[in-house]
Amino acid sequence: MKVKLLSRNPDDYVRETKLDIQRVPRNYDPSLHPFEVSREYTRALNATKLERVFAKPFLASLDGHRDGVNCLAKHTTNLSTLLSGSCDGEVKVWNLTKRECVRTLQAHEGFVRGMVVRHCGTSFFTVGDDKTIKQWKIEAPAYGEEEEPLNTILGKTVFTGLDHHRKEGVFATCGQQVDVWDEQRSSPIRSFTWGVDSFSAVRFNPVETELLASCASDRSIVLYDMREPAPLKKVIMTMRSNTVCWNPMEAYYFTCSNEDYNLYTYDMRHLDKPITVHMDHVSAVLDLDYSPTGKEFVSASFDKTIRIFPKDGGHSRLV
Amino acid sequence: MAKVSKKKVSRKSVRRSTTVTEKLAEVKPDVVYDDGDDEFLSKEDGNISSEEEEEDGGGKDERKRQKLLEAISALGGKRQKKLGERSEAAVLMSEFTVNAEGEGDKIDISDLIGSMEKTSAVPAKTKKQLKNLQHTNKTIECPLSKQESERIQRDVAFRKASTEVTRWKDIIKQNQRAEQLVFPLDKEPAGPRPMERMVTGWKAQTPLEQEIFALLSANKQPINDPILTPAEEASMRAMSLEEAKIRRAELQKARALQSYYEAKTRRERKIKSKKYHKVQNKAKRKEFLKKFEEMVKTDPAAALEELSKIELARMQERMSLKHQNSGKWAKSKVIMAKYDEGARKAMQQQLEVNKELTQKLVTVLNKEEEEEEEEEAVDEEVLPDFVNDAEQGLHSSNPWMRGKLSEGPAEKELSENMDLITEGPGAVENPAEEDEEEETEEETLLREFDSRRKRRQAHEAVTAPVPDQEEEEEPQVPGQGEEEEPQVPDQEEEELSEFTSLFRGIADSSREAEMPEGAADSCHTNPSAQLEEGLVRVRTLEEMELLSQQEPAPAEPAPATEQLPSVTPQAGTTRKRKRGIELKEVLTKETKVIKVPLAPTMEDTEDSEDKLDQRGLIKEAFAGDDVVSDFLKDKRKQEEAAKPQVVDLTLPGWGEWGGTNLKPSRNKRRRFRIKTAPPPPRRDQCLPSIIMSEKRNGSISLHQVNSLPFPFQNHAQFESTIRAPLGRTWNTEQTVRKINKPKVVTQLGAIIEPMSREELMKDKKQVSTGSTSHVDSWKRKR
Repeated sequence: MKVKLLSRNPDDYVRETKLDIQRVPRNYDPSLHPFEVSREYTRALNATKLERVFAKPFLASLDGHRDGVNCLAKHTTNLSTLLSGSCDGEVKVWNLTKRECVRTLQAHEGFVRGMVVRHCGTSFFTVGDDKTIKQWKIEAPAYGEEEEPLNTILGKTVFTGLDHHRKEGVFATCGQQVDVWDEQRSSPIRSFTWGVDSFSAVRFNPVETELLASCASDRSIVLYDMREPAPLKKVIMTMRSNTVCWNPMEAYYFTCSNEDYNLYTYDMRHLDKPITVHMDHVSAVLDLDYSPTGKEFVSASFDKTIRIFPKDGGHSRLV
Repeated sequence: MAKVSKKKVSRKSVRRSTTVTEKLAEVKPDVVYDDGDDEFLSKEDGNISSEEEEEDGGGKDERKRQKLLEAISALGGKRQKKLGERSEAAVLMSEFTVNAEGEGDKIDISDLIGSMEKTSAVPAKTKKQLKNLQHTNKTIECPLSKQESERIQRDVAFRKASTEVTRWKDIIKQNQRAEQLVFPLDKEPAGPRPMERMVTGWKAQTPLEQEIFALLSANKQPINDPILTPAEEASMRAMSLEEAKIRRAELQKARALQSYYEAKTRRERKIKSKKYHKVQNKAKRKEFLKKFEEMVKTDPAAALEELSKIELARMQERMSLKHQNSGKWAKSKVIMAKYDEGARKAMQQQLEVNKELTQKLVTVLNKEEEEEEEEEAVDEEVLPDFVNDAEQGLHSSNPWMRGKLSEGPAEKELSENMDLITEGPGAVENPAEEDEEEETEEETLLREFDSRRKRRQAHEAVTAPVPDQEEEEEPQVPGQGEEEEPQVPDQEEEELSEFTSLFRGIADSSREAEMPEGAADSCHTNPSAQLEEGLVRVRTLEEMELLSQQEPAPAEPAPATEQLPSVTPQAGTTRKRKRGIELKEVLTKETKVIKVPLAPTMEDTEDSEDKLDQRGLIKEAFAGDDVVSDFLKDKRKQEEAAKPQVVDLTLPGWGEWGGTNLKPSRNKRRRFRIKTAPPPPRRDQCLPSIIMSEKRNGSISLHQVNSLPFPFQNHAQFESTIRAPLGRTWNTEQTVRKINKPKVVTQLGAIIEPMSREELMKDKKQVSTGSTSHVDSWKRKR
């Protein structure tokens, strides 16, 4: 009697490591798959639904401030460090991975208005309602040492915001005028005014590092060049912009968050009309920041929402 | 005390000299002299007790005297109040007791120039400039206001900044189009790093090692194992492999081309055929002349040079005995010429060649000279051709003959261009041509008229036979089909115009109807009634006039035939039926053939050709087709298509007997025929002149694109991309991976720095290697 055996080469169906995907022999001839469109549609739909179901955008809350948090700052060289300044003048340094407060310091009397970490990541600057600019070390003082700022500059007026140059020891503050400071000096090396307004935010361009943008209370956004004695250009909008942020990957685009519930992306070369209008918020937009890839940005609004917008999309992304 | 008083005077003058600055040059020598005198006197006079005392006393006296003088002067007539001036002592008196000369004066350019002319070191140019400056009395414009200047500053600065920023454009575009971006951008290349980069601190320690290293470094050999020698590195840097390959290929190609060319020329040189060379030479000459002509236009200087060369060649030719029939060959031919025709011809040719070569070259450049010569030369004028042609043109009945008139000058001009180069026997023609140029304007006008006339007559020629035929045939066979056919378009035209007027009426009426009522269903209820109204209202006298204007031809001529009555009753019926007119019936009714004599229409149209307006043109253009009825048919067809079909699900043989000739029972058919519910009324139901497609689905259109996305060229491409499946089940693993590549890849835990300026440098290198397939990238984005 002859017995016929089915024999297979295990190389054809056994994967080499368990990290490999299971080999499934398939015939990809499209004529054998008449319902591919509908099947794929169903799959895509299910995938989207599940993604929504399992989306967990909220990771953790960092508790500890005794008053409202007024400003945040990312650490430039350490991804797990975050700084927050509150309305009672307290600054806290957080470790994001452990989700705990590393250090607390009383930086100012009154609000901490602005905060920025120096490009080297060893120190950070704060401005407060007490008309001072203070520079602090990131590291906590050793045991027995007193918590003291490295440097304090007394200003004439209240500062409302600040930003640091990406490469040099230069930073900019805004208040009644936009000042550019050298770290080594106690008086500004440049101060820009254009009419009498107060400014709410100032930002350095991270790519073309000599350029600045600021939001003024007369509903305008003003551009500056650090090297020039006068401001460059001004756009006046229908309502006031709260903050402005440059795209870190595309040198001439910046976005501003406006009181009219929208965000506007501008090309700084052609300011006569915005490139994109980002709509979805239902109240004034307070702040925004770009993702480091420059593809998206996040905005926070008075309507208690945070939205993520693609840089060239008119509406926010669903999470 | 005469001496004393003198002294006083002198002192006074001294004081004056210090205070009064003007005319100082004149005063000073006196003073010096006085002083000298004074001293001399004081020495001489021993009686005077002491100088100082006296001086003091003198000073007091002086002051008193001054006061007195002032008081006196104040008494007399005018009161001159001196303005108290305060001046700085330091300025007035320099510390070296040298008075600042010309203090308080303005410095004029003239002062400077005065000294300048004396000094020879100053270049003449500056002197001139300064002189010019002196003469110009231009005032400098007043500076701009602060705001203005600031604005200008801002503008300049902004422009500068924006140009600076624009450098990033390429990179930004490239990144936007990239299929995949990997962040952080400046990632260090993976893989093993070279040893020498890792171990930088290593040093030779033992004496042996040191010796070896010393040797190596002395011979410029690599110290660490894998690196190249400096020479090798230099060579590597000098040229990359690819570049070298490209260059080599280029060189090879050039060499090959050169060798081909050489071979070709060698081959050509070896050709012995005289004829070949003759032809070749001739062609070359022609080409050269052509080039030369161009050169005359573009580069006259070079052309002149060429001209001189040609002249030289001509001289040489004239001086030499070439082509003069004086050579050995020529002599032999002379002997042969008596008997041989060929030899004679050859000699003739030779002479011609000579003539040709020794001809003077005439170009635009030396035309003026030539013209002078010509004036002398002109005796016999060759009349232009068209003069002869004019006689032929008198045969106005023949259009072809007239055609020549227009062609003549054109030819002439061509020949003129040809003749321009060589001044041969045809040189005499030139003045005639000039005359002709003057005449050409008149000619062109003439020609235009002529051509018009011709066209018209051609028309007549075509149309003329038609009426003849008609008139001949009409009495014979009034109702023949062949005859009717050419007339059909006219009738259709008429009907078309009727339809158009009807349409207008409908449109007006519906507008009027909807405006007061504003309800859509009104037109559902009784459209016909409204239509009637509209028709009655619109088809007034004016409308009729319009119609008659459009169709003057059939109405006017109408020779008494049987056809006329058939027209009028037709018109009458339409007019009568206007009351109970059914819109669709009217519009879609079969076109009835009406015979209208065609005879004189053409004449009329010719006369009114100028008046032919837009409408008439359109009517003519679309005379053949019945647009309106076509449209309505089309609409009806679409309506039919949109109606839901009855689905017949009857299967023969189920529950019954089956067979070839058996039909399923009626009962069964009724049961299995599924009638779907009637669709909602069409939106264009009461709009007779509109077709509204119902195919568009609003719910789907939300997911459809309005315009073709960027990289796609046509919609088929786009649809095929969209239709292709993405999943693993239908694609191979690699394809899936390729299709579903993420647009952005970030590395976990890496800090993504903002774009740095180094990227600009990198980009310049990579510009050439920027070929990406956009279709794939688009899909991924999706």
